[in-house]
Amino acid sequence: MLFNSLTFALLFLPVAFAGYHLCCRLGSAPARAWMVFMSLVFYFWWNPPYVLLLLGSIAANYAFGALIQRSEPKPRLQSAALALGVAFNLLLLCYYKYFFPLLHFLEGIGLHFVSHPGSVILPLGISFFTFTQIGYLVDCRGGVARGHKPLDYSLFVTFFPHLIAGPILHHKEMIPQFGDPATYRFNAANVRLGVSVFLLGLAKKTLIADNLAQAANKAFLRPENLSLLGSWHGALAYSLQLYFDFSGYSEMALGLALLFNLRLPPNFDSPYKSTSIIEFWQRWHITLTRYINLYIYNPIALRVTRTRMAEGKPLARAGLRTVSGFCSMVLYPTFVALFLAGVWHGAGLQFIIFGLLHAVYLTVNHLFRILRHKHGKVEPDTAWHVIAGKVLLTYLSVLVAQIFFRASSVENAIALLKGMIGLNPNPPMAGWREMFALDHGFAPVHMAGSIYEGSMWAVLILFCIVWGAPNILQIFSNEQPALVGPKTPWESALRWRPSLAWGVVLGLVGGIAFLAMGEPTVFLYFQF
Amino acid sequence: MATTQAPAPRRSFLTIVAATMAGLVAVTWLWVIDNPRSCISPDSGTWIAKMQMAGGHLPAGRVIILGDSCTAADLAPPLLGNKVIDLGLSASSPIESYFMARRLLKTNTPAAVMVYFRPIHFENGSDVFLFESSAKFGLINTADLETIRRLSRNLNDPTLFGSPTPFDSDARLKDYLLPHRFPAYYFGGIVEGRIGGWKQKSLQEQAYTILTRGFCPTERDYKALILDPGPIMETFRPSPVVDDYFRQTLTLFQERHIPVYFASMPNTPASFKALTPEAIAGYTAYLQQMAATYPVFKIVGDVFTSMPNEYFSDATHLSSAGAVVCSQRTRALLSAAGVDLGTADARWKPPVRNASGYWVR
Repeated sequence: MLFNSLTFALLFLPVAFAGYHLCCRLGSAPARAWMVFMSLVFYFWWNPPYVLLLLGSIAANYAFGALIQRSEPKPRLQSAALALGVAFNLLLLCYYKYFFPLLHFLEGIGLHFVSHPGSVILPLGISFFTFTQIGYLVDCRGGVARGHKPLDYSLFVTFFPHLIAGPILHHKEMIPQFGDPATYRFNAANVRLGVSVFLLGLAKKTLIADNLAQAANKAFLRPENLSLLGSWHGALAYSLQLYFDFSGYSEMALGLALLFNLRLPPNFDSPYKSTSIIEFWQRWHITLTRYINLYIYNPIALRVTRTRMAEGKPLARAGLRTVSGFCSMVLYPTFVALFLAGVWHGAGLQFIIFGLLHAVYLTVNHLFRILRHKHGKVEPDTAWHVIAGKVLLTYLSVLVAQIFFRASSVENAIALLKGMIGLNPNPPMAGWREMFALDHGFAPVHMAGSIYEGSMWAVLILFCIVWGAPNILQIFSNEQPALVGPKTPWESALRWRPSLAWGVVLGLVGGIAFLAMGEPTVFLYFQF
Repeated sequence: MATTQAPAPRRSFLTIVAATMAGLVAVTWLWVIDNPRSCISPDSGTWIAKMQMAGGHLPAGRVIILGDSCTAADLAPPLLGNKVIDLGLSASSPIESYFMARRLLKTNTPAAVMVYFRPIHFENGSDVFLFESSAKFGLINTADLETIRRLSRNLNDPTLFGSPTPFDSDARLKDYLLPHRFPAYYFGGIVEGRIGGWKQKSLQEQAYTILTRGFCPTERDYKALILDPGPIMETFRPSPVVDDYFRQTLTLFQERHIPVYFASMPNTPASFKALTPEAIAGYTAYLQQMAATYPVFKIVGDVFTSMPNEYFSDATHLSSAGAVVCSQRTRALLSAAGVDLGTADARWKPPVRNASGYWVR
């Protein structure tokens, strides 16, 4: 079920909300049980048999977690249980996400292992709930997670606002909320806040992201037909689509959780305003970055550091200034972590390139920082043109990687990139009059040689919003809709408050967004 | 200076949001009910005209054309003969044609029928068009949609409705609410039509469709696309549900002993060249199988034909000049098969459009 579907808005959500607050009157356990039940209904609605897969995964992981906790006095047994649990999760993920694409890939290069490799429907959210649970098992081993009840654990994994596309939750931020009696008291302030955040997220999805989809899809369908201008238009349209789609989803998830008195971690904080790639990953898919750091990057970096310490090699800043130190303490863990992040996003060479490109960017960014420190430049830049240049450079780097992220193949991505540097045969500015015409808005623009969709003006206006407007965390910073506030505070009288003006504005925005829900489209992150 | 906002009692905030949303949706709904043409495609004019022609009492001896946008754009009834009425519908499959035929046969018994569908319309009867055109324009209603859905499910054919979910809730909701003009399903049209801009155009399309007895030339010239063969069919595999509706259509005519002729509409040289031998053989065999099963069904001429690029306005449809040539060719084919098309108006000229897309009288 999609958050932006009429079934969800008119049927599922009212039932889930009313049922939850009725159950709260009976106690916290019935309320939690109701939410688990409704979350399973939410999943069941999409593909009933896969509810068994989800339940099986939860049961197995809970059992592994319990075994790991109980075997604390026996470290070998504990490690074996952890390895078994992680292997179980990875096998499940590999089977559904990578096994059949791999067979098809091998068949494509002439290696036939089976006569007709079939396919399997990818269970929605499998990457998310698998990662969430692997993290839980690792924390059981580290003694961080212990003594959780099955109902709490089930709710932690299945809670429907995050089940399909994140944020990737950490048990330490959710399970304590399940134990708080305030969670089960009707809180009108949270409902007001939740409805407001949800409606703004819905508007981003239905009014902006979905309208950009046509332009992006057209561009990636046959990029070799595009002119230089058309290639840029298509790439920028996709970049904006991804931005508004993911931020819309993240905000709808925050808003929905608030209706049930729960706060989720923020997942999106104006990433295109970042002045470096390091900052970008602190603002884009924040919980994935945190997960990768916690469970992949840090353990590798820690092991490297211990090894270097044992060998008597320099550590910290002094170590990073040596080639071997930089390679082992930054380059190696970064490449491993980002390679896995790329693979996590999908089975395809283009996702690996996406991950490795970001690994290169991050490595260069870290190197640059080290060199700055070495030359005594520790103060951040304040000149506007330097900051603007950094934002632009960061964005362009991200854009190149996003083209691989969206493309159907590496060749597809390269064809668009070639168009963006003017290597396609079409005249570079073909169609500029139509693209800059003022009379068609988002309506299709047909041009010689190919068909583009959408106006360049729409793209430019949206970039003004992306770079100039405050984000949801900032607009609602008085009320803090997420567990953590925005990276950059926003001081303005225009910040949200439950006023008449805000009520009317949100009603109008929400009303228009509701009217656009007739043809719900999936969120881009659902495919992961 | 800091902006100040009128404070509202906190309790009433949600009431304000809900009332504003409900008010906006209600006003829009009433407007859509009152102005359906304003928020559905200008194509609605041609569909409404064709539904009117099909549902009216036609003089005896009429020859009816059923098919997709190619028959609507490539054939000019005045040039085919004065007994010809073209009920071909843009972006339609044999499913829509079945409902058109059913409507036609309630009040009429035509002397003969000509059909043509591009093979692609047997493979992917489009759910988008099924809803966007047929249901919005009123050709099919909620009950018809439910019948199609049931058939799709019985035949295990996800072409139209995707893989069925246990409740199919979104689709069922749409089946019910769309004919009731629920505004969420008309929002795209409201925006694209710029709140009412399509109404005049739709009315004009309707008038001209009736005047030309169903001729709908393509609206714009996309000549640049002519060299593009479009998606290439490797083989021909009809969707079970579309196949079923084609058979139902033939059954309707078979029961009434009305002959049905399949006559091909031309491809661009690029599309023609891109046809695979498997696709040609598959579609031809399919039609021959229909001819063997339904004695009223006959194939006249070649199943796949081509015309030079200069006769096309896009990758699929002929220009008005091309339609003149194609109409004359088709008249010769059908006449040779013994179909009485009446007198052709040799002086007839296709209407032209101005820069805004309106017909010029």
